[in-house]
Amino acid sequence: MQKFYPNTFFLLLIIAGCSQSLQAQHEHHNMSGHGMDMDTTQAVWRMPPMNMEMPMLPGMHNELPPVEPFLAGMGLQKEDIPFAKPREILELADGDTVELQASIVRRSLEGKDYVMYGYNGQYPGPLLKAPQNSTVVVEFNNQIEFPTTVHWHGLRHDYRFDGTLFAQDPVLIGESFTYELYFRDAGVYWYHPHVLEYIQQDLGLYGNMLVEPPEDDYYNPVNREEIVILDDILIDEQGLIPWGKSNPTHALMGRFGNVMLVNGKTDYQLNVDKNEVLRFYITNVANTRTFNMVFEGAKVKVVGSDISKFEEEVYTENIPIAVAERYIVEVLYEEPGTYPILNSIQAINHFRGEFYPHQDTLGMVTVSEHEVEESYTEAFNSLRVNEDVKKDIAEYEPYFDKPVDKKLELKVEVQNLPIPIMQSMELDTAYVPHLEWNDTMPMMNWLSTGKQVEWILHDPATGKNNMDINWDFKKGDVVKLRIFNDPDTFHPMNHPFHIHGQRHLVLNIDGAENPNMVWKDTSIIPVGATVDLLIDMSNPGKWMMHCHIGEHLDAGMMLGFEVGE
Amino acid sequence: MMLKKTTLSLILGLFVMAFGVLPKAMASPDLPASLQCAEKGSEYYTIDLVTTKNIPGTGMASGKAVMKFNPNPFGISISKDGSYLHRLEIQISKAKKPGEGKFVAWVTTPELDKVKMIGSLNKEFEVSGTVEWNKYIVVITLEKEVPDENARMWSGPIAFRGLSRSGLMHTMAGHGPFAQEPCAKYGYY
Repeated sequence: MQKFYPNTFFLLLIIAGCSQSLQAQHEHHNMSGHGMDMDTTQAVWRMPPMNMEMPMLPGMHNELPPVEPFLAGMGLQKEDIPFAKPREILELADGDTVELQASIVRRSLEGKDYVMYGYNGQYPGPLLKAPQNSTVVVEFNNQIEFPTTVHWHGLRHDYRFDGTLFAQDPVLIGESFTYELYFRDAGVYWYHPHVLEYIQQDLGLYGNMLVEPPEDDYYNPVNREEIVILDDILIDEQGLIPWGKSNPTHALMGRFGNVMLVNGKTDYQLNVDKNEVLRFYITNVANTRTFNMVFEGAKVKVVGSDISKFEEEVYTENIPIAVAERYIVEVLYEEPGTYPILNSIQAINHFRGEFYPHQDTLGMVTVSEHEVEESYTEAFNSLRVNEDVKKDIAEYEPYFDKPVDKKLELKVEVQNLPIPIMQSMELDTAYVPHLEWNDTMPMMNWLSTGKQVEWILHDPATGKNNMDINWDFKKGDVVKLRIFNDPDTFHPMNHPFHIHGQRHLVLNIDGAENPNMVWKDTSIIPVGATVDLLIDMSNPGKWMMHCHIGEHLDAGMMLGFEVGE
Repeated sequence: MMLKKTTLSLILGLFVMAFGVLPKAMASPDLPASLQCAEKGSEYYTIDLVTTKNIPGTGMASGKAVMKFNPNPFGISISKDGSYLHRLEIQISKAKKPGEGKFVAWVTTPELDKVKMIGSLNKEFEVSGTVEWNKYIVVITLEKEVPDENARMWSGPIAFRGLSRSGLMHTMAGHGPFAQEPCAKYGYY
């Protein structure tokens, strides 16, 4: 752990810092760096944009992350890089083969061009639509600047195609790998790299899979289906803020973007008829941001999540969705008009010590006067009890009260962070919220890298941490895992916890029983919370569990487990 | 040494006056089993209720308001505007039954511009309800009669009070180590 210098040193720094006005402190922030129009062959650090009302920490003006900066496509002529296209939908049948290539693309966002990555030259990657219980082969080729893999998030399939270090070596630049996917469960899933996720995924390497159930009435009847991917990206006037090439920046809180993207665009729009019912399949692929999605002007019903439908449908006004989670919701627009889709949060300004309401407009929906031709409002206006899901989950009820099998404690350790950061964070963490909805400390967060920050999954039974943990289970085991997110650690934070290759139920949070279950592969572990998960170890192989915040994952927060036959 | 003890007492006193909470190490361990969280759980967000000593039989009493997860389809319970939604489980211990009237629990914003009645405490001095504010004060008053459920303000004397942990999120604008400008610039005087 960091050793503190005497507080007097910090006080001297403060006095030094007080000699400048707030504005003057920010003058050095806009350091000249790389932009699309600049002729440069190497990335240069620029401080990310921040609220100008927030003062710079004294003594921090010239600090830079102690890692090499990275931007995609350095040294390439931008004219040579093809523009990415909107995603295509690939309707697949059992036994089909598809080609998937990761490559460098040009993206246009709000009138400016950026060099990013894409699958098959698309944003997001192509939508793979396949029937439940089908097998599809993916011939993958890597044309980006890093070795990479593809992880098929949520699929309970053969671990050899899971895209993790347990399954394969990274696919080197220019090389290929063949994945065989098996779609065991209906629902919406997604794919992304499992190497340097915090860069590669942030640059656009993600796409959805929609697994279609055989039953016509598996879901309610709707007029239309929309596949929506939520993301954010960090940009200033000169372009994308560089990433740490070998270690992530923003290792404390993860990299929040300041530009919201829906399906890779900043101007998501939808035209619907009056009384139209839509089913949205929503995926959050951001590095760290949890969204609180609000469909203004509409009624919303929650139908399903990661790996199944809920036991019972419920109406909701908002959809909090953490990184890597999926929610399936049905939305009814009854009144003509134009309505925003919002990210609606209570942000925190630590400098002023207050919450403040903040909204980002994610998209716009225009509801016409024209009445929808076929009405499904009757189905929308009743809440279905999903007996198939209840029956499936009932088989696991005998395990609900079993003793805890495994425990994890979530912590962080830091070393060699700049002293002002250490000192101010000590002052600043008298209260930590359940969840960080915005980047409350942009500069401190930016300067914290994977070299200084280690996020820890701690097994109290063995004293082991992260990849030193290697749990063994057998196929058919039903494992109760208790996760405690320690609020007394240096800088606690929420963690979207992902378990590969299996499905789990959230039994309770802080002892409050979950009355309406759904099968998950990723669950939020809020700060200070104790969450009991019941994991159905149904799929043999070598797997991982980890926090899905890209920066936390790269800063160590993962472990391995094996499910034997 | 004496000076140090006095200083520490003064700091602690100011802390309790300001926030209505005690540091965790000094918090009351008298929480009944029914309010014990799953292991450490929501202990971090528990609100210590401090007596005003204004009501006979409450001088030695203390209490807790445990903020618990409010079950919902998602892993976090928040409202449309992004405010946290909690189930608040309140219990007072070591208090004597008042000779007249009933203890009633309320929550209010720090600005006192919004007040919500949680309900009257039962014979075990317990009550629970939901709160959907991020920063709030728990107030327990002694009321002659249980107010109407739509009551918007208490009328009896305050017996206990405590501030949600978010109240520890103190402004540094014009006050803290980052003071750069007069407090008034940020609306603080």
